[in-house]
Amino acid sequence: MQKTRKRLSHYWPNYVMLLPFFTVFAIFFIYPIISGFSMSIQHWRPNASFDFVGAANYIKVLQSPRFIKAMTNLAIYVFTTVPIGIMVAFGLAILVNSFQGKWSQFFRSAYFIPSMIPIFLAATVWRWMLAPDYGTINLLLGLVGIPSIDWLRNPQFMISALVMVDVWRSVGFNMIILLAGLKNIPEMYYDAAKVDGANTLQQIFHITIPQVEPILFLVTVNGFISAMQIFDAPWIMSDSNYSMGYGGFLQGMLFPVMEMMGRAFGSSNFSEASALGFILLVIILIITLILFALRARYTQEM
Amino acid sequence: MKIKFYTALFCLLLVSLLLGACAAPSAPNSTNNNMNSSDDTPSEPGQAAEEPVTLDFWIYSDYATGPALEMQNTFISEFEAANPNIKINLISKPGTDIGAGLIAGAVSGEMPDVFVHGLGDTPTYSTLNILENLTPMFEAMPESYKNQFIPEVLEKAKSDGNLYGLPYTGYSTMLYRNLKVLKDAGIDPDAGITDWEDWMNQMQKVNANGAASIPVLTINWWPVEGIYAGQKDSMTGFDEQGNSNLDVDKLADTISFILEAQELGTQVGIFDQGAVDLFISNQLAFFPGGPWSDVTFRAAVDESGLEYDKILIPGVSAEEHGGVKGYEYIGITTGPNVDAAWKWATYLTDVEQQVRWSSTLGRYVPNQEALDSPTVKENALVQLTADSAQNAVFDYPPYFKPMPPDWMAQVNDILGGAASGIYTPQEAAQKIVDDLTTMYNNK
Repeated sequence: MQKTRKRLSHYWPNYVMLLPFFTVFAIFFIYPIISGFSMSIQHWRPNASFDFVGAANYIKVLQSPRFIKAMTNLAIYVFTTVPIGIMVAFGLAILVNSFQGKWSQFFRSAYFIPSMIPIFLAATVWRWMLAPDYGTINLLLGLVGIPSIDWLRNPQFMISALVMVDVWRSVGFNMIILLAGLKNIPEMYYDAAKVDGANTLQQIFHITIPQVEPILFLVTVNGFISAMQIFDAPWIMSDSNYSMGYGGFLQGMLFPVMEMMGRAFGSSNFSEASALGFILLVIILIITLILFALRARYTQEM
Repeated sequence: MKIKFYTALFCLLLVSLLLGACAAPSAPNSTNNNMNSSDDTPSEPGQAAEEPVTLDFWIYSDYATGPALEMQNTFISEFEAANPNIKINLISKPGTDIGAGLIAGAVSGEMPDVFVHGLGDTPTYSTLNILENLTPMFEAMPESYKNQFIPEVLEKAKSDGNLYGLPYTGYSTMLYRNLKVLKDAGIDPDAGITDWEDWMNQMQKVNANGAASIPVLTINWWPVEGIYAGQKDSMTGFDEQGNSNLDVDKLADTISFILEAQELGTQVGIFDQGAVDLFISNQLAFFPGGPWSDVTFRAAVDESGLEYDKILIPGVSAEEHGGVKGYEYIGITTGPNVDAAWKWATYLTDVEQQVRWSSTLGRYVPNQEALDSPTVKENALVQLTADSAQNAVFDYPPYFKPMPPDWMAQVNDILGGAASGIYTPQEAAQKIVDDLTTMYNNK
């Protein structure tokens, strides 16, 4: 007890300095989580008393066709956009890394610019570009004899359209991160490989990728988490709104966060919306843990 | 180390619990909390609150910009001069922000006193139980005030016999025609459009001349309703038995007509900016839209020489015409400022203000007395909107009764299915009627 009192009296300035952070953290992180969980286990109504329903909201969400459709779309989207995005970013990083001087700076900036554009603006511009008949993409396809595609209303192509937007927007940021990793690879590894007769592709697979593996992993995890929370782009591109419907034709652009927002602000069902939010949280946690476990196993094997 | 960790964790939890205890929303202090209450004692009309009151008034952003904002400020100045103890705090928001803000406000207890809302939003507000029952106050008003509103519009603002909004503004759709595109196709615009058959003939001529006749309408229920209304005795909504008022055969005919028309049109959807651009750039002949589109097209007359006019949406015969209509109401939230809010709401919706609002801004109002005034009758756009509203169908019933959150999306999907050949028009029509009836009765 005396030791504790002595420690507290010695370190109290440190605790006082930490207090602002913990206060803000509690207000904007801990409290919303507790409040959201509380809403998810009750039949919430404004100004009504607590009406505990247990896991009923969770079961209702998990059984709803719209949630299943949203998760299906999410799975297709995540396992398409993340690998493609990372491969493109990695390829661009290698390409830019091979440039010298002004060209390196120019392409680094050029590829990074899309990631600075607000997502609502990017989605709006892409909506115009993907428009049938007169959109830029369809005009270009027409030049090579491909008929106009209704990217935003044909369920076969809706997620492809989203992947295009996401890759275009995210590739610059990931490229910059990977580029930083590439810059740290000692040149002597490549010199030694060249002496041993390794070609470019072999150098990439046996030197570059193992050396930037930690950064690749970071970018992959970040990509998964970000992709699983997608909302803005499909909302705008499918012309969704709370009163006239959201998710696009045959819910081709319906995703879990959109469904959560729709349940909350479309039908004022905050209980189910909160439950959906926690379900998504658990799924993201599970996937992240799986990724970490796979990496740990990969590192162990190495 | 362990002690530091647990101390930090304890501090976090303590702050969270304190915040949770302090942040509980305060219950509104109102005698009319229950939407179904029918035993409220009427309050004295026009009785100003004794204490100074500031009313937060939420309004659509396009009702509070440019000339509309000037008019609002005029009304506020006049009202505040007549009621020195009441101040109006005008807050403009996009439509979706008003809805989202009210929902968030219901959670936090921070709601406006008065707000403008569309009929289609009422199910959300009824679920949240935030609308003040205006029946006692309305019944106590003079007959001259009560009789000025269009009766069917007033009825739509009622749920279980209780009134929850005062009719304020409205719209009804019309058909914009690009006159250059028509003339280039050899069509005389002055001849008008007699019926659907005549309209289809004109669309064929436009298409044969290389232009598009119409944008895609089947992306949404709203424009399809406007065409559906062009058949005798067409109604939307539900009857007392809970069955959809839609007629399957009439709806099937509507869908068939639209699909045939869309073959002669563009793949650009009616809500896409591209459709407006095509119309302005003389590549699209017909644009079914609301009065709000007139502002854009009028500007294009000066900017790019657009030649256009607007007519009633043609019906299946010469005696009919189509259109879809909706209305905005002034609602009052449950709270301590109901009396003052009622004074402001009745002032805004009274005939004198409605005449000024309508005649100056060219906006349709659901106030028959205002519509009958000579100054309002002079405005061609208001007159056309009023004529359209005579036969148009209501946009998104049921009002007040909550439907599944995806009900509109389901109908849109069926229309999309008809457009892509998944359903025949008859199958699509039957499915729409069946699904709407099921959703209405199951929710």
